[in-house]
Amino acid sequence: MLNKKGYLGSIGDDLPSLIPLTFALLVFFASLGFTFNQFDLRQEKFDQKLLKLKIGSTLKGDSLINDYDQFETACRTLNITSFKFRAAIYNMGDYSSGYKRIKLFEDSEPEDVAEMIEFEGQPFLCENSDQSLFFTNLAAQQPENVMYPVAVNLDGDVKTGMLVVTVWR
Amino acid sequence: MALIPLSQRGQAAITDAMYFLIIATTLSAFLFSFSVLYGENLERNVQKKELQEFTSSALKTILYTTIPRDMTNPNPKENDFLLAGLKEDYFDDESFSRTAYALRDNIQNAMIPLAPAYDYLFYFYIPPEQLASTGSSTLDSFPFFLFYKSTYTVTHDPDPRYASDPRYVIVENQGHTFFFCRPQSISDVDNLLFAISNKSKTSGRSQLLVSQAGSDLKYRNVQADLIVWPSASFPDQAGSPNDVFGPLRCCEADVPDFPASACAQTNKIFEKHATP
Repeated sequence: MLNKKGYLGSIGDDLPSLIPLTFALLVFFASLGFTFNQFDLRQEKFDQKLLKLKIGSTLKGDSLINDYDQFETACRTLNITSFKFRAAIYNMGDYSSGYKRIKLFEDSEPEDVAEMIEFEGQPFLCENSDQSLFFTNLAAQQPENVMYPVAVNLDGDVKTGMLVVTVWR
Repeated sequence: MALIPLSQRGQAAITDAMYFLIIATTLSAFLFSFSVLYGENLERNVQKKELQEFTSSALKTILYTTIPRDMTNPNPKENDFLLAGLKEDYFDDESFSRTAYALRDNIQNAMIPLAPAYDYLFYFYIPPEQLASTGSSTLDSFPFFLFYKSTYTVTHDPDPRYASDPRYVIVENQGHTFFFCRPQSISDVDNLLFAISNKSKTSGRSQLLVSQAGSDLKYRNVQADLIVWPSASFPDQAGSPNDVFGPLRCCEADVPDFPASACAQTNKIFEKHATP
């Protein structure tokens, strides 16, 4: 009986060790869950970033857009369902007449807005969404932009345009 | 094998649990650092690729666009490729005096998205041996050299607590200025680029036709370079032994009547040097 002084039984004896054990398991599984969550979020962001580069390089080709058909053909090769995107070529103005801005929000100053370059009434526009052009919830939509200068041939007059690609959720 | 008395069994179990806690905490720390650092390299590479793709597009766009044949009285129906205009201009007097501002405007138009936060260089480079073999001065290696440089003023903090410490400064009047430059050797440009980090460079090659008195027409190989980097300070204090800006022999491009300005005349910005 003296040998069993303080002995609480086979489970009771191991009871104090269960506290660090449970704590360790909690810490481990919490960090595992956090890591997987972060990994997924980052992976999705990278896919979005790589997609905007892919759309940009497909549409601009070798940076000279000879006619509207060339742009439209390049647009048709893009079959993207994972994200929404909109790509358009804008006339950003020039040094002598003043530069314009791309309108992404409804409340932009109207006189600053850059217009899409058109060929016979057709704008150089490629998109997979009919959503409004303007963003309303940036936190949820998480748009990613990229801009590339392109030379656009409009009946022999080659102008500098800006290809603006926006990819969002 | 020693038998553990029943009274000591609980201690062994708690030691094992503590070891388990240490292992689990180490693994968690590893997982946490992995999740924070994951994709940093990829992120950097995507940004680099984006800038590289931009400069490559910009260089092509700049040279593909058209300009009016007559720059003083432009007629929208009489356009020609800028590159054709540049070649014609160079053929006349081995300089880009007529087309320099049209080229500057085209560069500026293509580079708008980067303009607020980046500096850049655009130049044509003709190797000195090409110039020597066609009877021109080797000092004319850069017939066109444009530098879009960030400018700012630095003053010491007037607060007496910081006056003695040179680390406390006030940076004001930040902006950018265009300079036309006339470096005399490629090493002057290399010295500048050595002082700058995170730069992205794109090159294109072409040929310029020149006519030498008493000889046939000759071609010169020319390289067009566009170099872009995030605006950053570099040693540009005139007179300092580390100055990498002075040797480029630059003059502000937007002064009235640039060709007649004292700086342009002294540095022979769009003039040929005397043949040796």
